[in-house]
Amino acid sequence: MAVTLATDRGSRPHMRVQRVLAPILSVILVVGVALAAYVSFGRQRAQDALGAVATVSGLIGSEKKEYLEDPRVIAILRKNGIALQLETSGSRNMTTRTDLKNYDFVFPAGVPAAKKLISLTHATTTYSPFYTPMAVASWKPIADILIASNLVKKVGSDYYIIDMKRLVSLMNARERWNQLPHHDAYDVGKSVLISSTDVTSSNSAAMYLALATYLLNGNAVVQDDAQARAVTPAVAQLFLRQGYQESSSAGPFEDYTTIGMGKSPLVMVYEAQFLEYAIAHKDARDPNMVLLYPKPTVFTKHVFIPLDAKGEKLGALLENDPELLKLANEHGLRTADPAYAREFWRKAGVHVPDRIIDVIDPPSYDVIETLIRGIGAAAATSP
Amino acid sequence: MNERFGRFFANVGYVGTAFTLVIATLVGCGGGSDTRTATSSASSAVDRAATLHVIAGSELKDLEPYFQQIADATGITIVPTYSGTLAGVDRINAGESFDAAWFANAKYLLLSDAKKRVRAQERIMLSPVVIGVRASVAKQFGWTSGGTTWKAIAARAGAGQFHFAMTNPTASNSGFSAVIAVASALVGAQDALKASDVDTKKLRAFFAGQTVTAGSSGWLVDAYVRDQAKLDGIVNYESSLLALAASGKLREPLTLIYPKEGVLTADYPLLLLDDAKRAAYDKVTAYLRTPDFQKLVMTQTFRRPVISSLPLASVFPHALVNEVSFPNSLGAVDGILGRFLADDRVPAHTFYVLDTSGSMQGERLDGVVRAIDTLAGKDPSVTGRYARFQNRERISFIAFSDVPRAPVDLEMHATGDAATLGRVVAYANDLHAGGSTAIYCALETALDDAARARATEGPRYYSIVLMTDGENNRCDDAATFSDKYDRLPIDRKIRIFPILFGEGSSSELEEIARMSGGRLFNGKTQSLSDVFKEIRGYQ
Repeated sequence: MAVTLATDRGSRPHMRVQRVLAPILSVILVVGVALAAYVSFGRQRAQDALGAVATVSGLIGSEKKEYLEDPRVIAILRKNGIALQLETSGSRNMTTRTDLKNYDFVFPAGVPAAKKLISLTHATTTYSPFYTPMAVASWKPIADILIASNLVKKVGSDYYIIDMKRLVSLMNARERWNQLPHHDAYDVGKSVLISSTDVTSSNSAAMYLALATYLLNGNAVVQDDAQARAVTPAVAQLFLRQGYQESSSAGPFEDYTTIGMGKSPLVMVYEAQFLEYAIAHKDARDPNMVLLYPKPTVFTKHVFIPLDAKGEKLGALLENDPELLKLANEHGLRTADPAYAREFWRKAGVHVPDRIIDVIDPPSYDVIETLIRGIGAAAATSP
Repeated sequence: MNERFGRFFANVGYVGTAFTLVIATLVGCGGGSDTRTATSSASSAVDRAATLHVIAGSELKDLEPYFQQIADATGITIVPTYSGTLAGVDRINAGESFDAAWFANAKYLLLSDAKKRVRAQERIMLSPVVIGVRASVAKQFGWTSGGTTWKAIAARAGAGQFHFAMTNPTASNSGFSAVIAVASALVGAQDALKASDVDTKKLRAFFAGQTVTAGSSGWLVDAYVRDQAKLDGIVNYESSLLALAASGKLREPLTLIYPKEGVLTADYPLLLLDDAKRAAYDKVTAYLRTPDFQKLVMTQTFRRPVISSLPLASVFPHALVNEVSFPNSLGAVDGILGRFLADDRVPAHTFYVLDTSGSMQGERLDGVVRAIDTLAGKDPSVTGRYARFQNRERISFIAFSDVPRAPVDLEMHATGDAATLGRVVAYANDLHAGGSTAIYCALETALDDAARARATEGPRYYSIVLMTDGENNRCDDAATFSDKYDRLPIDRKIRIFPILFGEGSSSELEEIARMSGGRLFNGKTQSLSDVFKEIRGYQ
């Protein structure tokens, strides 16, 4: 447009040019805008029509939403011809959905729910691009109270380890915060309890269940119905006494970040949730927010299950594209190669254990089901 | 901040206008009737996609001024239908179609069958339910430090030294949250409360101090302003109390107390109910959670933000607000509410003044009979269950036409007292229409009876419901009644809740509500049964 103006100006008298040109230019401008819009719209349509960008729809655990909706992730996927359409769901809830065939993939958290989904959908391949350990989001004053009772130990200046066996037995003894020594910073009469999601719908609660039952079963993964029955009364109260529970892991974590210590002194979370939040709120984060690592802990693997060719392509990309894996690290997720994550997290001012060694396996999906049914029965009999 | 904000939007507005002009020019250039047809059908398709029909709590009315701004930013217009939370559960369960639901607290809904309809949820803002106490009273009782407890408040209330206003927990979430918090606190609950934990004696002491009840948090604020000389405190959302403090309507400042045993915080989740509206829902929730909108909500409506990148404004206390656990099942919640109504609260004595003049013949009188049947237990919905006449409650019916007929007084002796409820139903079925309309003389009879009852029965919520379909044409007129009401001693001024119905005079009925501190209900736009249920919140 600027070029046109210069040429015209050279060949005609000045005043007239302006008077004549102004309306002409505005018409050109309008037509130009319209033309540009039409052309780019046409191109976009042509590209989509050729199948260059396909919409790939999937059901995901809420904890992966921010990663998959990161504009940088979206851009890489688009370059590879993929536009995502996402819906979040509790990972365990996915196993009861009857509309899975409407999706190109499901992407639950946790191996037990994933195995169930694999058998339901007869999927033949899966991808596991990243994983995250279970951890407990807490507050510095709370950690100090727990340190005073030898339930928590500080490692270096950065993170904390929970003696999970002792904490579970203290919780089962119905200890209150104001019964612990040096509780002045949290002088409330509530029970010491870890808040979690609803165990019937969400993987993070199922991982807490896996951890607690391992400890209650004499440091052994619960294998059968008899063992499950034996630990049910003790583990049931860890869940039922919490009261209302959200169905997805984003819920209790949002209680933690927005309502704060008064509602959520201890919350079972994915390490990735905490790291993602800490990275995104580098300067604005409450300096009292701390992450405690249960010892032992349990990993949540994020298992991508393709349901068709479109899902297949996305899964392979998520697992193999080095840029996508780095972005996963930037959202707090651990990948096979820890180098980039280590460096990125350090620069972002979050300090986490490099390697987590004391890790247990979750029970099978069926044993978890049995345990959850037991908790449901205990709920029904408590008035 | 406001000025800057205003300028920002003025700018956006300007840009928007310029853009619209360009588009209009383009369409104009296109000309031709075909183009126009295509354009108009396309725009109606856009219109359908661009609305979000939301069943919303009446607490959210204060956000309505910002709906236009939301529409400008997202292209999506929120169309609200206001409702109480439990009434909302009934409407969703009954299959009524809404795109989304937005209540102060959705936990009851999410524990109920209505949960099956919820496709997504995202919380929008926060406000704890707390108690505001007149500054001088707070000082006198030493409730100025952070350690004030519900137990201390209960002790003063039980001793008759502290009087407060609170909404009815079955009609409004602020009262509901307070009942859960207080019931937990008074038994020293360490975990989520169960119905069997509730200590009736302790709760009765606390609620002995509740002298004003209401069906909505907004109306409660108005009632507090009107009666502030007689009241020491008000239970409500922190946001409502901060807004009240900023309104200039208070004669004495309020000290906000966040009792140490804990409170419940409303988190206003927006729930998606219709999958087809997911795109619109996602856009709106994303916009509502932007720093700009969150800041607006915080500074203009005193709700706390849900994004932690926004620092809390200085009006909010920074001290720890302890949160009680919400019960884990519908059974527990229903049990706690049921016990509150039957045993813990101050019981009601309501005088139903019912027009049986000739014009009530037929469908109108049938409507009254159905409405009374609803309160006698014939409505199985959630709101119907909670609207039933409760244990310990007294009910007086005064039918009138040319003159008031002899009152019929009934008392509930148990929950679901079949004998009394049977007499209620029989009374309603016996009503006959005929004669003219002596509204004011009937009200005078009710006021006399209520005064007598108050002198002999002791503490109850006394109120009068006036149901009439016509204009007064017998006995005292409006001016005479108004004179007489003005001259009544303060303890005989009973609140009157008139229902506009048939050819009733809205100006006269409005005046009756205004002078008595009651509220006018509209029986023309909804069924009498729904109106009778709604008024239960004020009894």
